[in-house]
Amino acid sequence: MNTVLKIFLSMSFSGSLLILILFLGKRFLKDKISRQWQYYIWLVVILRLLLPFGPETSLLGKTYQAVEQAMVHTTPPPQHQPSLDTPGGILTSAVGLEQNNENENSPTEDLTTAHPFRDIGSFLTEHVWLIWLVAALGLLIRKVTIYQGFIRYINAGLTPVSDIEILDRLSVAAERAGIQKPIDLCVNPLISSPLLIGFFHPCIILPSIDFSERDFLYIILHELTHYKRRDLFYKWLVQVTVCLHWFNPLVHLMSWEITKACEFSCDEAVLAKMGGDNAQDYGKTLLDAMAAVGRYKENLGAVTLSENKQLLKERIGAIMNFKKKSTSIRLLTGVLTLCAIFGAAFVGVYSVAAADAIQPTALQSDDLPVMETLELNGTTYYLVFSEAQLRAIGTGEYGMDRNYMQQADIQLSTDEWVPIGTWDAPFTGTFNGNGFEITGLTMTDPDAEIIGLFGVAENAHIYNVTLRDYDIASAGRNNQGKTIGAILAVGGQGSRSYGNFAYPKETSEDIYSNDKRPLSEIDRYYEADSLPLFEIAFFRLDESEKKTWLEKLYADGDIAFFHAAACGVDTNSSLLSDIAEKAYNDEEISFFSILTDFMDETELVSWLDRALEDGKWNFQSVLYDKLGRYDEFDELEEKMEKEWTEAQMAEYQTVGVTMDGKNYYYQGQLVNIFLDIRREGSFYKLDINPKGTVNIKLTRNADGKITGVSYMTDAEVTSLLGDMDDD
Amino acid sequence: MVQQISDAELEIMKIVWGNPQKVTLFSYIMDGLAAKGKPCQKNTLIVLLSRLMSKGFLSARKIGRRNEYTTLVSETEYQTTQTKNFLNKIYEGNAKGLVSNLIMGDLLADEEYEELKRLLEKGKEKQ
Repeated sequence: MNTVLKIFLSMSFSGSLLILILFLGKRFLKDKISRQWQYYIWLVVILRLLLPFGPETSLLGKTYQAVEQAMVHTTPPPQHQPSLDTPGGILTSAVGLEQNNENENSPTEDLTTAHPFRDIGSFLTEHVWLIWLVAALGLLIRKVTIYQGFIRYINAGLTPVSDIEILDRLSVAAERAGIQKPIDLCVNPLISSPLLIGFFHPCIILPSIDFSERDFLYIILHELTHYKRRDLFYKWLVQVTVCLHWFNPLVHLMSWEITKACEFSCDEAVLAKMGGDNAQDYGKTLLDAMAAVGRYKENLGAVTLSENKQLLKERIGAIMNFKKKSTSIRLLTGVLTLCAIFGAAFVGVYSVAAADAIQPTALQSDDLPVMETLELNGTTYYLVFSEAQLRAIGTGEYGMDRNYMQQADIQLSTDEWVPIGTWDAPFTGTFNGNGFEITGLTMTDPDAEIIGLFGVAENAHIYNVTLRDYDIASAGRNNQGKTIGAILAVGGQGSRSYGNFAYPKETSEDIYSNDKRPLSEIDRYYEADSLPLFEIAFFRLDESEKKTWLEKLYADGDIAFFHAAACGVDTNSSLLSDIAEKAYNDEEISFFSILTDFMDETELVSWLDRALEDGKWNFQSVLYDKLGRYDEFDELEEKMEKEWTEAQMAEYQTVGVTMDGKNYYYQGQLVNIFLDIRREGSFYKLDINPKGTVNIKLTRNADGKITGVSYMTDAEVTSLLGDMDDD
Repeated sequence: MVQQISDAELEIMKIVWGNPQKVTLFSYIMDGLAAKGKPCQKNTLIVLLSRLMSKGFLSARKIGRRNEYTTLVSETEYQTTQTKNFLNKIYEGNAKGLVSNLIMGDLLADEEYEELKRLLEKGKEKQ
């Protein structure tokens, strides 16, 4: 649905409420309140109908949102409604939380577009605003052309009054009415009753000049009052309103009521000037003017003396009852005016705040949501307002390496969330949650490997994200190698994730009340690098949060904090063994060795067995050490060394270097300097035998395989041993 | 084509034509009307003047708060067209009829008659 139209519909609705209230009020107070008031109070309604402003918290703002959500949630056809299967999807919306639904952009809708019927349907709903606009424009153009036709009709038979005496009477009356602008007077026998036309060159047109002096004065005064009060402008304002709100029958009713009130109040104003004693004469004038039956039906855009007979009867009734209003009535009308104005403001429109939040998304097409950008200190931030935009990260121009800034709370649909960033294309930019919330992230794919708002990140910064009511518990249940992290699943090299809060759906109630503080605290302590405080705060977390933290620390490679955190984990918990498993698989010996501190003997033994079986000697050594089996450890070390030496010897032999104890021989000669540097520089062997006669070095390729042996040049020797000679 | 104007408007035009100055001021017309014994309201005069302007008889130049009116149609021009209209309407374009009616109906004074005769002869010489 189009946002503009939505706002407009809400304006129409608010206006209708006001119209109904005024109609009701009129029934009770018809004759008690000044006609002027009854006429001008409609201006408040018209402003309500035309201006899309209102206070932030308006009576209907919330209602409109609730209605909108109800509509959004009922529109998807049942067969395409996954939200029914997942509890809470409906629930949250029924509660009527403020949320920006972007369902039209969600994959649910994409599915439905496959249906040709639905296609047309969605096309119509999306372009209904066009129909509205075309109809409104059409009506307006029609009104204008009718008015022009009417003016032409009038001009055709127009004779200017040249009787100076009559013109003088008009001038005197106009002067008395305080009208500066000269008003022309014409006669046109084609019209049925006197009328006033012309916005800028006003002209009173009479059906004839044969009026008694008194009648003439009344008529002129009536029309001059119309002019003075700018009734023509009012009338056209009403016409424009009617054109725009053509679909609203109450607005048409209002237009008719205003036309009526216009004449009533004009009569009142004339009588107020003339004095009530003249009421009878004035009424008679009206009747006389009506004697000639209208020959041109449409009197739109002109202000006439008499509109129709029924109205005339009412008017004469009102004229006869005319009396000046008392002070109390004036006070009452003042209060009523204020009520109406406040009512108009309070009834509001489609909440401005919500409308503002939606505004940017209204610009986007369904296929590729457009993101606005913000330049900040030379960095471009893409602004994320909606689910569609959030989901668009990593597509098209919205690359994984860009900077994103959340600008509104985002309520995600229950469609499967696709984590941002994969192993192949990790997220390398920044994401600033800006304190806004992301609610309702859902992942249920049992085979999912990476589970979280963000998948794989490298050198990325993810911060100030608040993830609420996320549901990822069931995701990846068939996948042993899965990685879970509510905010970030896999924090690769250099990636930082901080200032984030994650509240899973199930325990959301408790978290709001109790655990929010410790969580934010712990984040602060972590930021501040305060290990002892972190340890205390960590101790107070619940199991799943501890898990998140452990994973996070593990991912961040923060050994010190990891150790502190591990201390805070319940010894019966499986958390540590899970992590240990991960560390073992990742060959993260340092993390693993910390975890061995929290293992009992049987666990250690079983790990040792596994390490022996896998031939991971570094793990073996750690475990032996931990188990206090130093003999076996030494044995292992010896064994390892032996194995290592043997392997090395074998390797050296392939290129013609033989070993005999500590002596190296190359091509039958004792080696003086033996140099073996591995490519990555992680390991080298330098052996110097003073008795040797040749200097050799080994060269290795990228894989670490020996590719050749060569004699060292003197220069190389000097550079290698330069320092040593100094000693 | 010179349009028809009402009597009231003609009165105003006569005052403007009769003004030896090139431009005429509002107050001059106002005074002129009063002098003729046909006073009118300010607004009435404004309305009549604006009608004359829309008929192309007058043009107005606003200087400060006052209007300066100049004639666009001279008195002779107006008289000529009016006479032509009159001729066409009453004598069906026959000027002889008009002149003979003027003479026969004793509508001309003796001096006027002589004057007319001289004019006629002058016209003959020209041809």
